[in-house]
This record gives sequence, structure tokens and C-alpha cells, in this order.
Amino acid sequence: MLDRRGRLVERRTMGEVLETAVEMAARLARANVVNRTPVVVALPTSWPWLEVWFGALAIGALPVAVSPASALGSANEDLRRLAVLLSRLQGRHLVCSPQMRRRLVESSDLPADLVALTPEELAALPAARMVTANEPEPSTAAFLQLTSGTTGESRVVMIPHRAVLHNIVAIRHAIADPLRKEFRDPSKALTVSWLPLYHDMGLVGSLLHGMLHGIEVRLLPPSAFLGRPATWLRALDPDSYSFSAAPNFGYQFCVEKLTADDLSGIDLSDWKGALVGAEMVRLETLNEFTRHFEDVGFRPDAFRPCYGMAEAALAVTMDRALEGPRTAPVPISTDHAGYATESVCLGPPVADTEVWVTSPTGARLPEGRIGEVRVRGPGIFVGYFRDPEATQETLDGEWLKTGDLGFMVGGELYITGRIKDILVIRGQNLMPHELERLAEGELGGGGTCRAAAFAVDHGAEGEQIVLVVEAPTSESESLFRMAGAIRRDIGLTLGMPIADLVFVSAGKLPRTTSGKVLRRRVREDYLNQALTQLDY
Amino acid sequence: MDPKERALRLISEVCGVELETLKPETQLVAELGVDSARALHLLVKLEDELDIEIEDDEVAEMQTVGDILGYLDRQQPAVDG
Repeated sequence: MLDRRGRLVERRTMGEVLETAVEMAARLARANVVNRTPVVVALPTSWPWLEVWFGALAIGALPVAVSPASALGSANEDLRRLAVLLSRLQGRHLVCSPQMRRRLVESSDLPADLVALTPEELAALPAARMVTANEPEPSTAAFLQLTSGTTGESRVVMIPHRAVLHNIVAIRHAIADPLRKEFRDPSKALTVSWLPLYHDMGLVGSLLHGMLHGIEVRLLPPSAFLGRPATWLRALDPDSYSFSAAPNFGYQFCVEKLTADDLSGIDLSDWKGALVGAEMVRLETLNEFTRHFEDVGFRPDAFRPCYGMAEAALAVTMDRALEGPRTAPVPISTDHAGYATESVCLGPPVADTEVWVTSPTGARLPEGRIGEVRVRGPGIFVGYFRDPEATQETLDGEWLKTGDLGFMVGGELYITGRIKDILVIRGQNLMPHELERLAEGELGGGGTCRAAAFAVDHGAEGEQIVLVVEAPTSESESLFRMAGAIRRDIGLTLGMPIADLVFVSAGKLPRTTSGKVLRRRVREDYLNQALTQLDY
Repeated sequence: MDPKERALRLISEVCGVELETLKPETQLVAELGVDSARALHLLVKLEDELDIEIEDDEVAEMQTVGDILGYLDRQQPAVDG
């Protein structure tokens, strides 16, 4: 466990983690936590997080990790979401900091019977006797995982023991099997993660995966990376074979924030697995990262683009070729305007897992055709918690309907976008992220400004494109020039006019905790005239 | 420069607001629109430029400009006379 500055807080062995979890299980039982009920863990990345999460698991309760509201009172949105979630879960138990409890009580209507405990209060309870050992069935839900939900509110995924254990083994095979034998030794391996533990890639892909394979795990709080991104790269130890996962955003953030001065003391030559997934993987980002860090030993063949989601425990595919990022041309399709030229290869399915690209009726499409990605295998979830409607929408028999669009070539998967976000303009389908990428490319400079593209119904004229863009400046002449450049660029590339182009201040677009822009919220705000627009 | 004055300058810089508009009761989130990314950016700036280290517990308590200034006061108690 490392702190916000990357310094060691405390090292624990797997045995110590289990021992503290069993003690915590007894304390949770004293606090009347019972089998099969949710225990909401709203703690920062810390030892108490692990004690409570594994403690809840040990007594057969359902731990569910959520964002701990933090930095500088910026947490009101988190608190609002947590209050909504608590009433949806009908969970009786929440473990959080005293500050968070106080603010929750002040700011919202909490369920009357909610018991909010702090780690200190739990630690003060006697842990004398272990409760009945919990021997779950493989198909029993082990824990609840929130989805990151780019397109809507997050859903609560029930992950069975079988699914998570299978996926952890499958991930290990996908990572290690293609490597030379010497790099496969878990005792010489190291996993570093700054991903939040309430994120599936942080929990399953980093923490649980490392622990179950006897790999040293170094956990950093997300604020360590977001505040000083070099902390991540410094925690990768050149004396071990390092494996570390991040969304595309994490790699992009390093490119944007780190200068040559920040690179002293960083050695990436033994980074054997730079996993990249959890959102659209961009070739530009991977290439820029390679250029930026090749002088400190980074090799592009460390990149392992992957694809997964909470509903599949985590990993569905992972690149195993060890050839660096590979791309395939995006097929021309009636379902998809032919402007996005290349897509990054996300590799073949992980062990025992099938991936089909399907037509809207669920029929399997041949390779090279774009359709909805469906997944079948032992990692698939058993349903959303107390939400049969959403479960029915998402599961078709044994098949998980991902809502993602993609195509297969040579048994490997390429993702092109999301079904639900498709803009249908004049009978042509458009991917909002393509529009956003073009707009973001015109903003210049820092690169942290984001855009959101969506369609708005204009009556007889049909659906029209609206683009909301974070501007690096509020100066109207620069905005006017930028607007011209964005319209020109999108017009030239896609032949599509933008009905309305709106600028807002940098950082004003709502994002998920993993940094994805919440398009639907932006669209709602736009329609409700709730955006503070910059004049130009 | 006095640490509190430097802190105020940093807040105005990071939040993109005029220095004169910052009052002790100004809410970082509600009034200055500080989101979690910007909050962290501000925190790191404060730490690096004032050469201090703010504990996570303290960070959780900071909701207004005055909270930040009060923290700095406690770090460097004013010397009488």
C-alpha cells in the first residue's frame, strides 16, 4: 500500500490480509451484517478497504465498493449518487469515513434504517469468535460491482464466485502464456495499480488477479496518479517484471502531463504488460506514449489492448501477439458511416469464452462485418441486483449483449463504438466519439479539453448534430476561429453539418469517475438550457 | 510572499477567477466549480509551491477558501509582536 506520494505505507502478506479479513468478518457480524445483504464500502484505497471488503466476502455478505467522496468538498455529486444507490440497494450497512458520514447526514435523505460505520468503530468491536465459515456455491453472487456507465446511470452487477475466479485465471493465461518462460514466474512479477478499487479493472484486474496468483501488488490511491502521474511510473520496479493496467485516458494523461524533467529515475524497460482497456483504445495515444517514453525503456510490445466489462467479471479479449498495437481498417458498412479508418486490435477471447458479432436479430455475422458484440462463457454475470428488467435486456439466454459494436478479423476483436450512442443523421450512422475526436483535435494545447456529440430532434429536418466543446480559452475571437476550424474539419471528413456548436469552460462537462464524458447528461443539460455557454 | 496570499493566487489561477472575488466563505465546488480533477490539481499546486504536505483527513474538510487559509494558519501560527 503506497500513499498519495508513492511512499510505502505498509506491506502485508497474503496471510495477513486473510487474517485481518477474518477478524473483520467477526466484527461485521457483531454489527449485524448478515449473509447475502449488501455492505457498501465507501473508503479510499487503504488497508481498511481490504479488511472490510474481504471481511464482508468472508461472511457471505455482498461487498459493493463505491467512490469515497474526497478532495476539497468536490464530492457533492458523489454523495448524491451514493444516496440514490443506498436506497436502490436497500442495504443496511455503509462503511465510510466520519467526514463522509457527517456530510451524508447533512445533505440527503438517507434510508432510515441505514447503519453507517467508520473503520475505527468497527476496529473497536471485539473480534473474538469467527462466525460460521461461509462455503458458497460457485453460482452464488460473491460481490456487487458498479458499472461505470458512460451512457446512463451505473448498474449493480452481481458477480458469482465462479465468474470472478474463472476470469482471474483466464486473465493470467492471456497475460502470461505468450511471454517467454522467465517472465512468467509470479514470484518475480509485480502489479501496480492506481485504479480505484470500485472500478472493475482496479478490483478484479489488478488487486484480485495479483493476490490470487501470488504476485506482489502495489496499490496507489487514484489521487497519487491524478495529482502526480509520474508516481505511477516510478512504482513500476525495474527489478521485477511489471504488469499494470489503465484505461486509454491514463496513458494519454502521462503524455500530456509529464515533461522530460519528470522522467528522471523512471525505468520502464521491464514493464512487460501495459494493459489498456475499459474504454475505446486509441492508436494515437499508444503511439504518442511510446514516443514519449521510449528513452526511458518503454517498448510498444508491452502494450496489451484488451476488452471487457463488469458483466463479464472483467476480461473478454486481450491482445496476445506481443507485436505492439495493431490495427485493421474499419469495414465499410451500411450500419456505420465509412469515415473511421482504423481500429485497434483487442486480441482473441480469453479462455473458455466465445465472442460473436451479431446482427440485430442475434444471428452471427461473418468476419469483417460490423455488428453487436455478444459474449458467452463462465465469466458472465448472473444479473443486475434487484433489477430484473435490466437483466432481461442484457442477457439473451447464455449470451451477454454488450451494447458495443465491433467486428472480428482472424478471430480477434475490434470495437468501433456503442449501439446506444449512435447518431443517425440523414439515414447515416455516426459514432459520437469520432466527432468528438475531430473536435478535440482542433482545440490544441493541453489536450485535456473534451467534447460531447449527440443528436437532437429538429422536427421536419430530422436529427441534427450538436457538439458541446470545452474551450481552453473564453476569448471570443479565438473561439470563433476554433468553431470555424471544427466545422470545416468535420464537414470535410464526414460531410456532415453541425447544427449547433457550443463552447463551455474547461472541465465543465460531467464525467464518470474514470474520466469519460457523460454524453447523455450533457444532452439533457443542453436541452434544458442548463449549460453555461461561452459567447463567440 | 505570505503563504496565504500565495494560496489565494493559486486558487484564482487554478479556478480561473479574479483574485478580488475570493472570500473566505467562497465555496470551492458550488461557487468556483471545482471538480475532482481540478481539486487535485489545486492540492498538488498548494503542496508543491508552499512546500507543505496536506493530510488526506484535512483535505476532506476543506470546502471553502477559508478552510484552506485556516489550515495554513494552523501550519504556521502567527507570531505575536
